[in-house]
Amino acid sequence: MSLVNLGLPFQEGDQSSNARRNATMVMSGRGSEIASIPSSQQIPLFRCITTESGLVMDEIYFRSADNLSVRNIRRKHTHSADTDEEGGLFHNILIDNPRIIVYGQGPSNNIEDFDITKLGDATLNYTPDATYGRIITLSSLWDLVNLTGNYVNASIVGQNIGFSEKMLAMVTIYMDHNANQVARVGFGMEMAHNTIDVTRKVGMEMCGGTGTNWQAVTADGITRSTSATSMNVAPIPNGYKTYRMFFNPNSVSYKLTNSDGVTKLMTSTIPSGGQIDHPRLFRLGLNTTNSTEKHMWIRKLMFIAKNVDATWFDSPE
Amino acid sequence: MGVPNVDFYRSVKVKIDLEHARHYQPFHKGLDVNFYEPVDDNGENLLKVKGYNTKKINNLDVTITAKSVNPNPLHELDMRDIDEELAMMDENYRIIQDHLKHTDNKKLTHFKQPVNTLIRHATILEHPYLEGENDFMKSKAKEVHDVEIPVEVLREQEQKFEKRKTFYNKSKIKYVAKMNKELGIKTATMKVGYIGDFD
Repeated sequence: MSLVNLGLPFQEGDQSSNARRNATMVMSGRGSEIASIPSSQQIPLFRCITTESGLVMDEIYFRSADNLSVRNIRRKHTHSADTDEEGGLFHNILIDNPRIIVYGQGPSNNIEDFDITKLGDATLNYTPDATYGRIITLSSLWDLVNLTGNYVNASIVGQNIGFSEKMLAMVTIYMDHNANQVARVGFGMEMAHNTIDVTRKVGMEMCGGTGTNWQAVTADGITRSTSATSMNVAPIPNGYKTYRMFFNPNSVSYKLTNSDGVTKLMTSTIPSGGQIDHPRLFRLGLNTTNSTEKHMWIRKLMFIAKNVDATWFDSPE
Repeated sequence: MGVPNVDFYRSVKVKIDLEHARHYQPFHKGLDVNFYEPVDDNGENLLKVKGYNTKKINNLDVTITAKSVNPNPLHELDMRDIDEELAMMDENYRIIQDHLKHTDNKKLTHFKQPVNTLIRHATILEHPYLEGENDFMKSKAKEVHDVEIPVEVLREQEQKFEKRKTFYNKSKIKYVAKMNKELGIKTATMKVGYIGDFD
């Protein structure tokens, strides 16, 4: 076997020799070096090692056929045409992914989407709001006769969603109290008036026993874990907070973030496979435990998940 | 007597921006990580300061928690795991203040609720983890109540226990299956309770 020696091995940035450049199929270089290569030196591919001159580190660039420009191989595309450059039509993406569930993309939610479980005088209503539009309000009242909370739960029901794929939920809510109540929000959560179960879930809850902050919740089918966050349920000054729940099976973690910039990460008892059976796909529940009426205002709920209903189809054909 | 029930925690200030904090994944599984909101010296949330360039935020407070009791023995962690995680965090981002106190950050989780409830596990009392040296936890479990669990889920878990024989004394879960006509599947009624809250 014979080897053709193109000269001494050269290091990153040692790109000054024209002969070496012409012999190079892929060049590693700083952004400024790549940008300043004259078109006479016909290197077809570049690996950028420093963000400079409009080129970004860790991106691969290629020289255009007319030799006049350097382009990122990952070009911005909006799936507006059925071509390789556009990555196919967006329509194609939806057609080939019929199991995706995207709930609540509109500016507000529809109360008819929720399955309501409540007791006594508890209510779930629209509250008109000049700024935020259609707000859904959960009101939990105290039953003075039976000395118990009148609970209210609003659940998105329908097709089963699976823990085999990522799940993302964002919900904007406002709570007026942070004590003497049970509140639960999330994928597969129990109703607010029920004792805990170990059904697979990721979400958040608050109850009197664990203080005034939300607890992040996970369960893997036989074990349920809660972990303290620093997110006060009704901080002072109070206001609408958006909570983001992200279940990631790839990193086996569950992340709860809020709009104040708090990030809570759980890595224990993360659901592995399995699904959430309806009627508890995504649930928001509230139950007062003293004589004060409690409220939860839902401004917006959105979630993305995978439909794993056995009667559903994986593909268009 | 079995595994002691201890919640471990340590709070530090780390030189990290919001983007990296949001994508942080602990190397040690079983650790929980809480990055606090970015605040200025007066305690004002920098995300709410109008016009503030949030890319300037270069340090955040963080609490890492672990518990010595976990039905997954691989996640039974202690202070050494937190120390190792912080050593890696220090290498990657740099820790600029250790052992934060209430005066450093009023929102530290361990000042907001009893320390032994920072992480809580409720599990079936027939869990193989609760056999042998951990058997005493069954009688000390709190808020024990019945829960109906699909038999399919129990079988899946048994397969996992079988693969991890090193950590469990047995792989089979004792249960009596019955047909749940409402759900159309076989279920078993199991006792569930909080373990590790016995201090």
